[in-house]
Amino acid sequence: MATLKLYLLKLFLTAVAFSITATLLYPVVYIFLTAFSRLPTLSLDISYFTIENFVSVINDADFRNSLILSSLVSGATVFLALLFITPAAYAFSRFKFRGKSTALYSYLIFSQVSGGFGVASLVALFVFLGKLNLVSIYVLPFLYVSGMVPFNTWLLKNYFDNIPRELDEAAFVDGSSWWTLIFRVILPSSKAPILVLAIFAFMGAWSEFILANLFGFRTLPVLMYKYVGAYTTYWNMFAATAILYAIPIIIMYMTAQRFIGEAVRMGVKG
Amino acid sequence: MAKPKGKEELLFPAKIALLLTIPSLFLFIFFNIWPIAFSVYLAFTNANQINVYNPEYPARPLRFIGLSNFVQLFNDPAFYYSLLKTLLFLGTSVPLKMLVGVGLAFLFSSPLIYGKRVMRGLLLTPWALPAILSVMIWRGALDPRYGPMTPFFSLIVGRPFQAVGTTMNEWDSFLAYNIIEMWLAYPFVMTVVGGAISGIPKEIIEASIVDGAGVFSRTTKVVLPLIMRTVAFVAVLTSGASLQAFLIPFVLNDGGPMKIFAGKLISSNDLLLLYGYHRFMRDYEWGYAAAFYLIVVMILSVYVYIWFKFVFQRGGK
Repeated sequence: MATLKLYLLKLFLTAVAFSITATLLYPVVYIFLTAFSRLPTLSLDISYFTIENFVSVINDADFRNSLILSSLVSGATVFLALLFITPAAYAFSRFKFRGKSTALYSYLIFSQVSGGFGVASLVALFVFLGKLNLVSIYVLPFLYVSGMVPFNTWLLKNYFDNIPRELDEAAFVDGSSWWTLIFRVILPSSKAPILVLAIFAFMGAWSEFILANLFGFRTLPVLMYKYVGAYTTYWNMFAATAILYAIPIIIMYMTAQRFIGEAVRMGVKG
Repeated sequence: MAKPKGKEELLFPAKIALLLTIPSLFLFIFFNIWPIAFSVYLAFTNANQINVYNPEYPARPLRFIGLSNFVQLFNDPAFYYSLLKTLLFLGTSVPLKMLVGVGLAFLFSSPLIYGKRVMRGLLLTPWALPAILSVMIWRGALDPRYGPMTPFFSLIVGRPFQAVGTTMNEWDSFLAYNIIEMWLAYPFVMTVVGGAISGIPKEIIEASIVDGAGVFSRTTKVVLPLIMRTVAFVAVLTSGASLQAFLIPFVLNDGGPMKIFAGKLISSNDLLLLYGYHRFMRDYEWGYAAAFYLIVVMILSVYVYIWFKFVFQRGGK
């Protein structure tokens, strides 16, 4: 009798959990299914199944141009983030210097309001980049990296803290050359933090919208924003575009899921 | 070999530290801090989209106008309107996402659910998607004619739900912002609070069962007090997101229907950051927008001060 009651309770709770999950994920499930539909709205009729939406999106010149632009900008952002942020995070982890904790705390504090400060400085940024003639697609990755400095330096520093320092200290004391120290000792032992930074930088650049839109660069999010109004009647086309856009992000999320969880915990721990 | 004195004892020369940190610090200051300093200058001028590049523009030369922008701002009912709308959004969206997130954390802390891990993983989807994509998906989902979520919300409000499109309704779009903000934030709340719940020692729960506490009193009297600090902490963090809401109103419907408020054309749901953006991109009053954004920076500084205090109350780590 007791086991039956428990069984029924389990069934009931599972049903509750499932219906909440289904409701919350309904928009995403809907968009996923509609992308394979011949009709602009979802139909459960299997005869409407098609992959033509994806073919026509990929054949669309606008989409391809934006895809190339977004890939280049994101690639450049990853490269610059590694170049600028890794050495700084390493220094924050291994060196003792004046103003170190002030800088770290400022980074941490700033990262809590970076979104708001980012928007709040748009006017001045627009004016001052315009005056210096710096409104260019080549500057965009630098802008992205600058916004990533506070949080990612801080995050990466925590990762470096967990890598035993005996190794690089020993190499330094032995009088190894800088080249050996960097490429034979430090970099090989810090693959994980560097991978995390690369993934975060890519995800940040790939999904940045506000700056790209303001300066009129047609990256994928900007293109989709232009489409989403016009596409309400061609919801299936928008859905196909959205899936193609989300694929790299989802792959990276799955690779880095563990790290993302860790990053959030660190953010919470302060 | 003798052990180096203390972990922090430097083996590397300090000059190298400088060399390694300066480039990123420079980048950060140049593109993030300098514009804020530059808006201090703009805020005291009558800058607009022409005279800022051509200071001797005859119709309106670029001039220092002292505190005029700030005087105008504080006498502008639209500014207070936006401030109140933002506070209202803070007051509605934070409880909503806390309720959903904490509720889900409790539900999924139960061992009595089949497929718990799979469902919990799936529920993190909003986290995996870029925020910009999520808001665009919601924009489609709330389309008045074709949107798959529209019938559901029409049922709730008791008439056709209109948060997107040419005949938008002010409060429908406000409700939509709340729903989307909740949707973006519940995975975070759920994960952190869920972590706190699973961190409660089993002995405490077992002791309360032995003492005869039912599910309800066990939840409210034993578990809830133990995770209260975490819940409060998450609430503070997630308030920051609501205070800085920009992407949601901007991408969903650009602030909702336009209306004339105290002689000024504004969007009816101009939350703080969006209000400034509209003064910048619609009115071209760049000096005024800069002055406004300085006030926003101050408001955010107050928030971040509260956040900082909170972190240190928890013991600093």
